[in-house]
Amino acid sequence: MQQEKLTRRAFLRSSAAAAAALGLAACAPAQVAPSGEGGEAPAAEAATLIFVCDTINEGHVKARDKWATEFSEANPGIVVEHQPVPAGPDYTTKIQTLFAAGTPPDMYRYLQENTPIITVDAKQMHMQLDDYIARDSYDLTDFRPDAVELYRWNGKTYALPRDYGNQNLYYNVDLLEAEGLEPPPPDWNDTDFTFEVFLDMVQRLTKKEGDRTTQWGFLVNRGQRPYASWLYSNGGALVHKNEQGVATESAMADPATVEAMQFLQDLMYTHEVSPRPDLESELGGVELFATGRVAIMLTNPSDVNRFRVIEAFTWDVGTIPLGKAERRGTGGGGTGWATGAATNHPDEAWAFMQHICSAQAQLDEVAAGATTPSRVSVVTSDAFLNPDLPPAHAAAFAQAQEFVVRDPVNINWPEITQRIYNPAMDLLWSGAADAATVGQKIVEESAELFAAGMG
Amino acid sequence: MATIEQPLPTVAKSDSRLTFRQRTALRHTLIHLFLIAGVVVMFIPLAWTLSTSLKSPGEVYLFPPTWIPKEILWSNYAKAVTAIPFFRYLWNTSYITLVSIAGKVISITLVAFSFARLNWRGRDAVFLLMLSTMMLPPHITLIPQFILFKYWGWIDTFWPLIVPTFFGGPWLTFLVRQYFMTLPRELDDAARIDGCSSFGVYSRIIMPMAKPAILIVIIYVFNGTWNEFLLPLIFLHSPSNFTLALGLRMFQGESSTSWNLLMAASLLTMLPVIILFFFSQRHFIQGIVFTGVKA
Repeated sequence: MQQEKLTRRAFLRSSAAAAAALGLAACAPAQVAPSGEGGEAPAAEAATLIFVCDTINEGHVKARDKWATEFSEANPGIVVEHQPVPAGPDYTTKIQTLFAAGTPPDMYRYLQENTPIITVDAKQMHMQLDDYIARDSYDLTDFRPDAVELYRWNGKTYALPRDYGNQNLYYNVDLLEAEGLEPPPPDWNDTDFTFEVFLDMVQRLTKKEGDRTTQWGFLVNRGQRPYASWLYSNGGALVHKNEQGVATESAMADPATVEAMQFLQDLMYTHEVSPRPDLESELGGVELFATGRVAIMLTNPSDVNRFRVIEAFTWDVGTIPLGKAERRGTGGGGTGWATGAATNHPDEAWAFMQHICSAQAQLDEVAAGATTPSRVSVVTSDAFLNPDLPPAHAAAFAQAQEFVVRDPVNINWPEITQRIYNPAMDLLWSGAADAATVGQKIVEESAELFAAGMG
Repeated sequence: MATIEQPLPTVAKSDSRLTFRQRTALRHTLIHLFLIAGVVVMFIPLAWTLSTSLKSPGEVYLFPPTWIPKEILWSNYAKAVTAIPFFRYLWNTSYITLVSIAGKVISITLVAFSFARLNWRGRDAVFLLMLSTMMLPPHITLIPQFILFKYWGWIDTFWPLIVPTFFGGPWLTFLVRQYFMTLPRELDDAARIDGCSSFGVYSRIIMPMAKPAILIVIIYVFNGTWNEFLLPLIFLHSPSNFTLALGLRMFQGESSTSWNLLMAASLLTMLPVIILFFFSQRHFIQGIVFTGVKA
């Protein structure tokens, strides 16, 4: 019976159908290939700029579509093709593949924490902008000077700053009020809000029923920029640098660094005011704060959108506590707009870069949320500090930009982070080793890679 | 006789013990209770997905969480299919999946037939070589493939996703080859005596008997292609060419996720897979038994 079901003829028919389907497949992409607008000038005359960016949120995708459209309309000889890519590691994978294959985008969101600027310089990955900046007398004064410096190396500029992020404490207003606590101050120059004051605060905010914790005072953010903010604010650092700013060795065994790391571990294991990583994984991270089970957490301004949509949730932001340092520091740095050096349309790409670095473009992104603009005029504008929307003290985001400590600059920094810092820090977070042991381990294991990555 | 005529001890005995039928019923009840509990546990993620898909963005974060949304928002489904060009992605995914299935079935059965039923010099060495390619992580070949496809002008088309499927794949080829090996050789001999060519043996003798193996190939390729993420991510650039797996990620931003819309779109995406499973679960389970592994 079965033999009769699939005859040779039937098989040949199936094969022919499959071949036809394959043929059709060849047609499908042709329909979406870039083409001139119906019956107008051939597309070959227009320069097509490939604009690749990760999806920060739907609003940002729409803003970029708008930029592409308005720029293409204003410049008839140029077509901007916006290609959104899923955010996170997928975006990095895509960008790295495009560069490795020799087909970098004409414009993309450059994440300097994944590809240090020293690597960009050494491999000549990006188009240099200095000649264009000089030619057009492009005004950089509205940008945060440190944000511009992030993308300069050896006197060359390889990108322009899109945003300039930082870390702030987010707190649940209702929980603090219920405990009669003064909230973390929004002023980054404040000197009263210390590690000790913070510890007392989170201890009072931690609630237990028997052995079970029903409310935690603080959620330790184990991301590198967040934990580095504690080190900076205590006078410590992730790395030591030479006069050029290149990271030469780990600073994780420095006393101030070790003290801050130990403070974070103690929050979880000694004072028990923060959920341990295993509990956090089980119960959710940011969701713990969003659902009122954690009173305070440290994160960057891009989380604003997440919390704004939650009903009956009153929250605000303030500065990180001050340790033994003279002034606070926050990990951060934001991202930039860059053009692949292999672009066929450098002039057009530069023109488009000016368009998306404009104050209006940054205002478009402010409207979409989840950004800290790099232009002073925008980050201090009413649009960004909107008093009708939480957080009430959004000005803390703007002021924090003056306290950003840039990510370490070393060709091997991404590898050092992944292979040495992260696994060693996991020992700290899991309580398997104390801060001094972890710091020493990082220093010893990373020495060779630091030395090899100084360029 | 006297003992037989005395019913009391017997009655007492049957009171304390269950009859065979009762024992069977009890056993079945317990088994069903256990299975129902298992079904409930397995159904929880799906139920949670459904529940989240009907919530407002704010209610997603409510604690304690609500199983039944305060306000059921069916409009989330409309938003989910309009926030991204869902039906375009559905078409793209279906297209790639169907052509991939055709490609894999044709190529894998042909190659497996050759390895299982034909004698040619170096066959076993080539078979081992093919198996050894399974040791090569796909990420290793990604950039060379990208450069090659770029050279051919295939980037941002479906070609890189479907053409390789017409060149088989070691794992499923191995699987089908093993199945072909179990079929009696005498069938081939009889067909050849009747004048059948090798292709005739393949198409008229082996393929009709290979329905279970082919169905397993179809199920595996369907699941793999429908859910494939990395290759579309790398080879497709234009949003209009995206697949569902890629499109769903668009709901996940840098630091926030539209959970309600993502869950609505995920449920819609899952539907074809669930339907396929319902219609082919017998073969699917057969496949697990046949291969000894879960899909």
